[in-house]
Amino acid sequence: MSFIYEELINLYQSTGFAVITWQQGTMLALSCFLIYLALKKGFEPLLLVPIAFGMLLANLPAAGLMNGPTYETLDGITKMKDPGGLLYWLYQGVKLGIYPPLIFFGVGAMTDFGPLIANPRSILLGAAAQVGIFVTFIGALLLDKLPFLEFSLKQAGSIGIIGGADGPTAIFLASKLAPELLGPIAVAAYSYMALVPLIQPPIMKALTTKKEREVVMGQLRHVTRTERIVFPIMVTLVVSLVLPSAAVLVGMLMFGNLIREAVDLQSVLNRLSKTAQNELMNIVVIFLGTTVGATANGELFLKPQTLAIILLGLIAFSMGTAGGVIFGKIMYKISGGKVNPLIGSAGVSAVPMAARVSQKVGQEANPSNYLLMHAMGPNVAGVIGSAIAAGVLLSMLG
Amino acid sequence: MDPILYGLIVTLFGMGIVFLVLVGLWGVLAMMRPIFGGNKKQKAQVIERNLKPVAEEITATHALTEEMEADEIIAVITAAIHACMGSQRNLLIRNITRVGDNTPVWGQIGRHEQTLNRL
Repeated sequence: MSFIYEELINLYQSTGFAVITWQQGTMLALSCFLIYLALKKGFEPLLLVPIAFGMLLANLPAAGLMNGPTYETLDGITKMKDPGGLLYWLYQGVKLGIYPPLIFFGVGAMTDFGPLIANPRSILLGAAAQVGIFVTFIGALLLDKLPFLEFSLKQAGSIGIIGGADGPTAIFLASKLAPELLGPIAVAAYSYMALVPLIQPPIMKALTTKKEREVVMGQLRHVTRTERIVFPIMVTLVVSLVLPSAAVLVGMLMFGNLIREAVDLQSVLNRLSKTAQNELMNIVVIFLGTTVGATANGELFLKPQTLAIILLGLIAFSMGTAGGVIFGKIMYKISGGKVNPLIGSAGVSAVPMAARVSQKVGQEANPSNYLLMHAMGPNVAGVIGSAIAAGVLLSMLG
Repeated sequence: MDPILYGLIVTLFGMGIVFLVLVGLWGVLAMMRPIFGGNKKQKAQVIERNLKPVAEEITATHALTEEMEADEIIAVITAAIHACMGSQRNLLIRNITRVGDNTPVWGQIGRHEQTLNRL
């Protein structure tokens, strides 16, 4: 009888129930809540579902999906004892900075830079909106003065990049500068990107007058095929020569875009363009989302630091929006009222969500106004701007 | 160095470099237009040359002689029909009548809501 009892005890001790910690339990509940938000409320389901499920997998007690390989040495020969968990190996794509540039490749293949080429001055709005990154960077450093919080320069830089409103850029920089904060930074970045339609409009309305919001902008000029093809090559050369650390992100973004635009000349490239936009992009999103979620380990995630990162992320988004709108107002004054300042808020990447918000707020003020294509200019400039900002932070803090 | 002081330096340099690079790109884009953006004068001449025979053709139909002030609009409509049906066909435009927007108010509101839903 005692033999059966001992076996039952052994069986229980080998289950997850025996070894689960309160942090793991909390993270499992949190991941279920995130899955609910993604599926029921539609919060960025494409990314939040893989992130939340990765979080769930990594916090399963005793499963060891994020464990690295273990080795043992017998008679002077080192052998692999355990190959490690699946997520550990998939995570190497994040750690080595492979997935984010591949995502940029797909984003480039999906993005039309025509509105930016047609109205090049809108590129300045994409620069102004990056102010959120640096204000938050300083904010994170100032929080260091509080007794229970401590952010190093590298960690502060990684938190600041949330203001770029660009998931792959945030993950790329955090994996290089502060991999220990990757989980909270990714969750904050994607959560706020989903909340752009709620965060931005009050700031946009508070900073503009009704007259400014009603401005109807002239039709954009036609962009030739040659311009579209020369653009990605030019951008890669200019950005990479000035800032080599931004070359990997900007280069892959522009490579994807070149393939997209060159399809008109060589239709055979359509195969590559479609792969970049669909199959490759989807595969990388699954790997990136799941492994980023898997970094949200209970022991590391449930700290006051995470709450501070979530708060700083909100400040970053708000400051970026405000920076873009204020610069939009300056352009409104300089142009003699020809630029609608609302397109400035689209300077915080988040393509195309931020441009849609500019369109919606503009149409609320003037129902016959169509700002969408005008807002796409600063929107795609914001992607380039945040990649450059990440390059600057990497070269100065890395 | 004090981290906050260094942070301020990074901020100053960071924003400076972001603006500098993007202003540089603006300059490059502005230079690209005259080189690769196509010749405006040439284009205008081509359009003018194409429009003349179309306008003459319409005059020959004697249907719209009293509305010569709308020449350009007629030419554009004719060119569009030509483009849709293939330039090889012989087309004769006899009459062009403006059709008012008969969409009821509820229909217009519906369209507006549909547009907003897709944004």
